[in-house]
Amino acid sequence: MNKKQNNINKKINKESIFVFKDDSFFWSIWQGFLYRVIFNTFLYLGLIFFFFLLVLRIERWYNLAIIFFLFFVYVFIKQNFADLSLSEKNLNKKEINLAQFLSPKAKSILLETKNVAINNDLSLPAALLSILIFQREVIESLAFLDIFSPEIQEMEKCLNQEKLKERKKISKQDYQAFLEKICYGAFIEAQSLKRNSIKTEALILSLYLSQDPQVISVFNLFHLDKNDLRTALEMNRLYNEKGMEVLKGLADKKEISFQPKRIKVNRSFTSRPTPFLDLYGTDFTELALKLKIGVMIGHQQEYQSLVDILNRQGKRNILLVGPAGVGKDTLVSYLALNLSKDRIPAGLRDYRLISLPLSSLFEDIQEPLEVFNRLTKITKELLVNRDIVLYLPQFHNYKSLAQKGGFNALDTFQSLVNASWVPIIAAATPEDYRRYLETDSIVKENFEIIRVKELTTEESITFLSFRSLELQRKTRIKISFKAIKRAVNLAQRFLGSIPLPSSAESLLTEALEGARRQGKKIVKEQDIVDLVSLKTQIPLDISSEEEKEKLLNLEKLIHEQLINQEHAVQLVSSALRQYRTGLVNINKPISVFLFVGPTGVGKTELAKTLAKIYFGSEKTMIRFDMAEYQDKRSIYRFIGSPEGESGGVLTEAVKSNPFSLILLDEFEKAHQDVLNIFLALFDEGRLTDNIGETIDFTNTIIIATSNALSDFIKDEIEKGTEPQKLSDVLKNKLTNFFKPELLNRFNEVVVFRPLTQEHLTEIVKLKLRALSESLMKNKKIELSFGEGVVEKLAQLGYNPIFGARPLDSVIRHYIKDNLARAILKEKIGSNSQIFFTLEEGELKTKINNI
Amino acid sequence: MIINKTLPGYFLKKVGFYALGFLKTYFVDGRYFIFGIYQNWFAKLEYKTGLIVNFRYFTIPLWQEHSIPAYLLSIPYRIIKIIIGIIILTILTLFFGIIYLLWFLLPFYLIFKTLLP
Repeated sequence: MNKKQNNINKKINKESIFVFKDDSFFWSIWQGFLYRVIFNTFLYLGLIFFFFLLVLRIERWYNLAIIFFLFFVYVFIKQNFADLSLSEKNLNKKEINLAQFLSPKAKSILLETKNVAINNDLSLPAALLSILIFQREVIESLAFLDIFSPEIQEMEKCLNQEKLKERKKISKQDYQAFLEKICYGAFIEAQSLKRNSIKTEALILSLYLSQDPQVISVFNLFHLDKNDLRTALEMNRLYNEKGMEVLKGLADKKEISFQPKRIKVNRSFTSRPTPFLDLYGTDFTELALKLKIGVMIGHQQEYQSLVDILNRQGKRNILLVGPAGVGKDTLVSYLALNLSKDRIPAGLRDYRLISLPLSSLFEDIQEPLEVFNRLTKITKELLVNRDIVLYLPQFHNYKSLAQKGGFNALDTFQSLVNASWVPIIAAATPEDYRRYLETDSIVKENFEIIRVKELTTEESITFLSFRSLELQRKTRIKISFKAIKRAVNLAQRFLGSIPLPSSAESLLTEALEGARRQGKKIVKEQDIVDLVSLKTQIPLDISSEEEKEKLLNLEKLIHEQLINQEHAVQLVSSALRQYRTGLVNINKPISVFLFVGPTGVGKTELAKTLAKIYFGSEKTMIRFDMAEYQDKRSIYRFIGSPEGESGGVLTEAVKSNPFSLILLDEFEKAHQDVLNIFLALFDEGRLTDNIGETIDFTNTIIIATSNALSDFIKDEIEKGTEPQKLSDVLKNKLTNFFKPELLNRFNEVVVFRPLTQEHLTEIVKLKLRALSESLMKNKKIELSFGEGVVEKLAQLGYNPIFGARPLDSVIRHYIKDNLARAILKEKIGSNSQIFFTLEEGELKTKINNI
Repeated sequence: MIINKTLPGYFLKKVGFYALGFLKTYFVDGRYFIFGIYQNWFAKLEYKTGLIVNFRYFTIPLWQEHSIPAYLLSIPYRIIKIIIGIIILTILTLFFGIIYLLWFLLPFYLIFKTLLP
């Protein structure tokens, strides 16, 4: 191969040449068999012979037998390992023989590959994959990617389906080239996995480099991403590793068993005893040593700032500001771990880190003000020490705890805060910081703020991959890597009010609990999707065939209840289909439409119909009559009062039902300031309410209706202007009613066409059918209509100005009123048949009681 | 032909490889193994005895009490701690030194005993 290694691993000499030299790979089956017989005879004979020499204690040869027996034991053990390990001394050579790094299992798999390829007419990489997918460690790892036995069988079928068109003889050169390529790739992968030899895991990963179309198509078909597979292999290894310490945080710290009291000072005895502080505080450095707390993923930047500030001259007080669960405690416990291991700048060595939550000072207290006495004593102790870092979690509590005379607990710390030799690390959430601490002069003058950011998606996935191992060990239920990835993505999208990784971790623990209840052995991606759907009431997955059918025939279903307006129906249906298949922009509402057209043409009706068909009921629609929001202050009805006394109708409705249809009727009638709040909403799918909470609108369809320019629309339609052209012209004209930036934020401005007499006839039919069905269902009365009745009602209800609106009143007057009278006069009852006919232009009823 | 010329050669090469590997494992890897345990114990005992920190804070009085009695107390205290630390760590070093020496000499001793019983 003579391929030169470049920038792959610093351990390898840059001038190294890679070769694959192992004659046994090119032997026939018989030669291989013969070699194994010779070698095993040599080994076992040697072992037995020297063992007997030792047992029989034959003088003179006894001592030599020890050496040779040890040698044969060495060979016996060595057989299960690669010839050489991937260590620096073995890699720093001019010529590296890749065959020497193969584990015995990897070697036998590669030997078998050739036979499988020949017998099944497969390419060599495809043959290798077909063997690898049945190896125990690969099967177990694939389970972390939600790929189980049926899918593995399917994979094998896929590989065998595409046999090579022509039976090709595999030449020695082909096999040599394949071995060189695969082993080189596996060598790189084994190094990145930090393995000491080339094993099965490295072989399967190296197949991604093979570029074999058959192998790549199988990987694509089963969504086997290389990085995901690598993580799954690593997770499986850690899962099976016994006695390994996985991620532990402060949350895992156990109660320390009773220990006799002792004076706690640092190792150099430069700190003074702090018995009072020890009584109420927790020594994090001691915990870090005993319980191995302090593993940290991400937050490197914040940690560096923390250390830099602690190590500088002058005041060294720090306030960590970040949402609850973001990792403030983790940062501090990581510092404790480094303090205990001396992995810290020299100026901070031999420091103790002590946490003092205010709540601990309330233990066994008679009088609340006693807390101040305790704090004063602790302050005195700390002031004579120079080797203690004090950690104050939930720092705002110190500020909010006040005693008579106006002093708060923070004032008690004033002298401590001013003393540069006692560094304080405080922590608060952004809300508490804003509310209690931002304006406080002690905080402003003495504390350096470090904002603790949420972990990135990648960091959260890494964190949870490790964390899940701990959870799996406790519950004996596996968590698939796909479930972890999905939990992080969905938590970030739908549980944005809680930072990562806490939000995703709580999803995983909840899913684990669910799995335990149902007796499942693994938490899969689908479990997470179902859980989030349940929690947020947002359908995330099309799980039923019924829903698929409904989505595919949405237009037809809508038209069963709505006449005309094909263009609008098609647009709305298409938007919903795209959303449910995950093709929409996730940072915007599903779709924002402006329906314009004369009154009574079906704008509101379409929204109602859609809500009924897809969202379950008309009642689930969030409807606003915008004519009620004509003054400036009505904005607060939408988003809540600035004083925070009442919530906003819009924000509260979407908060409790995030997947919904919002109808903004007669949109043009609202006040301009009210319309302005929709600018950001339409654009980013978010709205901030009165208490500063961001409400997510990305799972809503927003339909605004307007009667503006009705006459113009009617004239243009009569002239025969095309709908698209009319929509464009209309957009320009609508600038008299709406700001251009607002109009631009609508996905579509949909023109509703006026209804004709024929449309009205169809609408009458729909309405009468609905009435008949309702009567039959509720009163068991059969209703039927004779020839010309429908047309007569349509004629009576037709009004070019009001569209289909008068129809309801016509049906009420001519049909429902007659029915009501008949019911009251007890002319009709259950099982009656009522027949409406048209006689000499008049509507008549015939009753038939069975 | 079942037996080709590479087969015996391959076998002998393999046995030779294992023989060299055995010697390397015994003398080189054995040394790393013993040294690794030694390093681990050394770090643990150094931490316990506080040897380096007592050196570093030699001039700083106990509990940072900057008074004459404190200095009078702290200097002998630190000297004692340092001496104890040095003694413990020296014993540890000697112990592991002897272990390695025995390990290294054992094969030669066994051969010697075989040749000159």
